[in-house]
Amino acid sequence: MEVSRRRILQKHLEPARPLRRCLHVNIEPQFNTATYALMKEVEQERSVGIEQFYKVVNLHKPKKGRISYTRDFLIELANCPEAMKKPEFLPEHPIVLTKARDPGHLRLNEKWWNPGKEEMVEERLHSPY
Amino acid sequence: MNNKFDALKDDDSGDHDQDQGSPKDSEKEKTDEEDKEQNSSKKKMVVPGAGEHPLQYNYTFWYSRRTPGRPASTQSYEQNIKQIGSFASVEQFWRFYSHMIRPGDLTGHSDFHLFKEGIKPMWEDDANKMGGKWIIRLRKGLASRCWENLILAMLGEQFMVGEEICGAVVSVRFQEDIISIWNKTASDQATTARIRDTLRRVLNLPPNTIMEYKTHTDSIKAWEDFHGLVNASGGR
Repeated sequence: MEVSRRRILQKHLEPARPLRRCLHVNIEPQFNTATYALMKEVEQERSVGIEQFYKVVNLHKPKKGRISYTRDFLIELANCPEAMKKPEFLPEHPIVLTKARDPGHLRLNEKWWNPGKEEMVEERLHSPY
Repeated sequence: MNNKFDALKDDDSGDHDQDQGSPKDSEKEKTDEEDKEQNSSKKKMVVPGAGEHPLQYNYTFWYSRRTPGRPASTQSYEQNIKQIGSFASVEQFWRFYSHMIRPGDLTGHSDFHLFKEGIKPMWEDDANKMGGKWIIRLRKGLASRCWENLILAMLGEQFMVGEEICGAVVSVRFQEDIISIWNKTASDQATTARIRDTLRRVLNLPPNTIMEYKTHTDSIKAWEDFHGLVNASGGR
């Protein structure tokens, strides 16, 4: 008896929240009429403004979104003449080459390792690229 | 230990915003004869050339080689490490890369490092000190290919871990080669797991390849233990 009465009591206390929700629902339809259309229009206008603003900003700071490239795309670019030029500042050092290496080795697809074909890999390793 | 940290605790502006570089850093850079040319090029920020493909971050190539006979200390490590150059676009990257020998052709105890501009390839750098690295040991003959796949994935933003990646290293050793990728927050398990999974995918490694994660604090401690700095640092 005690327990069930408490349950009733709790239930009795709850409606405070749904009331607020009701209020919200009541307001919602008012947006769906002319007001809403107007708001949308204003929003559109504003978003165009922001877009333009970002375009201007991006001229100076081009790295806004995340710039990602696939391996294949990067390797394609290795073959363009721009990528073979000698950098303007390059220290003199034993590991630095005077002429660009042939990017040919990059064209080989990376399937140099295949599951279950370890022997082939070993063979590949002993032959020059 | 204190000396070591003082020597390296540097000037980095404190924030980890790679886009800003750190102006103080370049001012304070050593002014040895051989570094003069390098210094002047470093002061102006690299930008992608017209029509080039910009990268998400600027990066710097470094090279280091252990000097035989000299006692290893962190200070001498910093002196031994040499900047090759910085780049901001795919084309600029290839310009440097095609003018450097491939890691598989290196001899002796040497490393290539490719780090985001402004981050030194050292445990003590602000961006690294809370971080760690995934290590993959490779038998001889695989280093060049693996290194290329690793850095192409890093430059192409294939790891998808936000700002977490700091850089990558290939280490040529006597009987094996090691590649590693460093990230900022060693305690961030979601990030380290994602890096591991991406590594497996992009390196296309045999499934039995062992991958090991090591925090830089562990690396520092191991280094200190090895060099007998335990007592000097107060008997820890």
